[in-house]
Amino acid sequence: MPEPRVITFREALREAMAEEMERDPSIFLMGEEVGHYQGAYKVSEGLLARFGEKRVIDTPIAETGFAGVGIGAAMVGLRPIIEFMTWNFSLTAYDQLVNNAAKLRYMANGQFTLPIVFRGPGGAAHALAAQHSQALESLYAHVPGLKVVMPATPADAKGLLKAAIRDDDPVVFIESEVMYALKGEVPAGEHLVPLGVADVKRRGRDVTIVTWAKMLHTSLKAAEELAQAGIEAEVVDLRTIRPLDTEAIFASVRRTGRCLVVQEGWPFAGVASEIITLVVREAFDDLDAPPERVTSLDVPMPYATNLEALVLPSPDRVVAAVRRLLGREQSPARPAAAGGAR
Amino acid sequence: MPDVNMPKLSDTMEEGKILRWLKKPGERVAIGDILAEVETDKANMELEAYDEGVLSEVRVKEGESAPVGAVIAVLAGADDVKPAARPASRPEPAPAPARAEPRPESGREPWRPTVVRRPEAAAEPEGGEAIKASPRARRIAREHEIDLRSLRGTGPGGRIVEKDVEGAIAAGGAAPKKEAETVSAPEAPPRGERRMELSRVRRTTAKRMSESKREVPHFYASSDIRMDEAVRLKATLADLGGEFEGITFTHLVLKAVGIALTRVPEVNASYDGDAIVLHDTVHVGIATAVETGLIVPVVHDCDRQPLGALVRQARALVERARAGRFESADLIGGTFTLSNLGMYPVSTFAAVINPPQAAILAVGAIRDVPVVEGSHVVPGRLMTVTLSCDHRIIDGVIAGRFLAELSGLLTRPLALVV
Repeated sequence: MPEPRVITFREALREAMAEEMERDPSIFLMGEEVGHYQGAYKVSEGLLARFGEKRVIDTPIAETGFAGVGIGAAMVGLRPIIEFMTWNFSLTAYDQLVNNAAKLRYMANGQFTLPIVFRGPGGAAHALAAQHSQALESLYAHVPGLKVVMPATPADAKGLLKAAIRDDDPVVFIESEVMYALKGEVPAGEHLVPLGVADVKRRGRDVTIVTWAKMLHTSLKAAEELAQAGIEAEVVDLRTIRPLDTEAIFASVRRTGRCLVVQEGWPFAGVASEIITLVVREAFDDLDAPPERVTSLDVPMPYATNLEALVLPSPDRVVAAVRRLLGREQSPARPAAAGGAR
Repeated sequence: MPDVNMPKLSDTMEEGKILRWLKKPGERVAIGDILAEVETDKANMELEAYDEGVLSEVRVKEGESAPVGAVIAVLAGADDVKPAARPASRPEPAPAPARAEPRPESGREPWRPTVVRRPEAAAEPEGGEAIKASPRARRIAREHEIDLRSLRGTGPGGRIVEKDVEGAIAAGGAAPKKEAETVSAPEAPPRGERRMELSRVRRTTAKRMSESKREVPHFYASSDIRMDEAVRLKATLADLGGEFEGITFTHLVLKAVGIALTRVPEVNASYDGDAIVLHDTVHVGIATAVETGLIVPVVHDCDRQPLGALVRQARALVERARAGRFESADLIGGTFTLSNLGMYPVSTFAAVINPPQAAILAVGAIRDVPVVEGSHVVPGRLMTVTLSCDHRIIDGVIAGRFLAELSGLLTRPLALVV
């Protein structure tokens, strides 16, 4: 069992890439500023010196181009890691991801696989305004043929990225600028977290909160606060949006009878909508209240930090949604009744 | 004199057959009353009255058909009645009025659309409103044969939620849909094995007992109590008769427990997630075997009521319970439970806690045993009691203090009658 040490989310990602690149010479990293600048967010710091210019490749500002080069390289047997400086910029390359990466294995009747990882930070950071603050996971999770992975802790970041690199299908791997400095215990050396397996990050009996990525921390804060009021929330970290670990969700909802989904993205046609649809269909008879969701408000992100805070899901909004689900606070002691001894 | 016309109930409908008239000529008709059942090319529908009055004439007999728009009945005496708005409680919208020509034979007013309600849309046949209950509550109610109509919802907007159904189950099941009967064995049981459907009471016991053993960390403390004095006291009181008629050791222990609980109130408590709830009242349930299973009638105010009154109350309760005439009020509000197997050759046993109560006392038989008194061995009468405690809120020291009080009260039982 490898020893856990405390490192940052950023270092965990770097470690995952370096370990995999050591292990498999067909892996290379490509993107804007990944090499000589040491990474826009210093995730790839030191990798150029360690692996050389053939395996750590700086590109021009041309997402469509380098995403396409990566897809072509994957088709002929290499294992590219394509870094988007942020997922906002991936929209330029959306056609490459949706029409090529997601489709080629299918359309070539399995003659090619596409072992490629697209990675970078997504979601809001601080005052980056409407075009640079988007949580786009539902856009990618919408497309059959893409896997969508979103870690929330340094250990999961390492284990999931290593698993994503080893996966033979295209993986959309969405990180978060505000989590790069997050510290946590991470096993040294081989540490794999399988794709498609959720993790219960907190146990509770009263309500299930399904969430992922940055919103895990928002939800855990809310759960702390709810615990003060005697409400025990179970927090399920999806870790992978697609394939979705539906059994983990249903199992938890069957225990608690109540389901809240917390996502950073917009409400309309979001991942929460899909999860709630599945829960209503598969766990209908276990629901004690209509499922709820907490999302960003349905607007472009304002630049002003006070308004940004209003738009993003907050622990307060999660707490309020849970209280709505429960109808009211816990009532005092129930009367004792039939049943009895022996 | 409003006419009742054959409504157009589907795009392709040209005529409808009257299956049955639900109103007879001469009967009063209120808006929303069902006049008749009509068979169309698609389905059987109910024909609802749009006007009020007295049904004066039926023009199409049962089993006969009439074209869309034809007058099928006439309402009389409604001319001076103001056209009332349709009652709001009818959510089904009227079908779009078809542009049917007035039939020549009607001769009077053009026909009016008639409000039509599909019979299957009437959710509650008893005419009640649709019950608002969560799917989970519905499932549990179904499993326990609880009638949702007998429950009051405490969820958002008055929705019946799991807790409400569990409450009813805990109270012995609210108005049951049907009596859970013991299913008789098939005529020739294949290999000497019979399957007995669980009664409602038994099912509740099974559920609560497994919950208790699963969730409540039990620990047990036993005490041998000298009962020589108590045996004498009981005989004396039984001789006195009156309110003491039919006194049993259960009653003496009940009184002793009542007093001991006021002296060690930590035992008279419930676990409620983030709090210990201490009860000011001392209501002790007596685990009672009945035909359908085990129930726990509750004797109120065991600390305050004099022994005679307790005897009366406990006897009445247990009698009602055994006769199956108990009410749910008899079973609720308990703060502690007593289980006595002393009438059997059971020297000691440990009971399962009745949640959310903190403890339960198991009482064994009084035995003749040699007892050491000073330097002599003398014949004595001992009774072993075992207290099962919820270790989340009761520690061993508290169990010890409670048993010390109880032992003292029963060893010198005069305190029970003064």
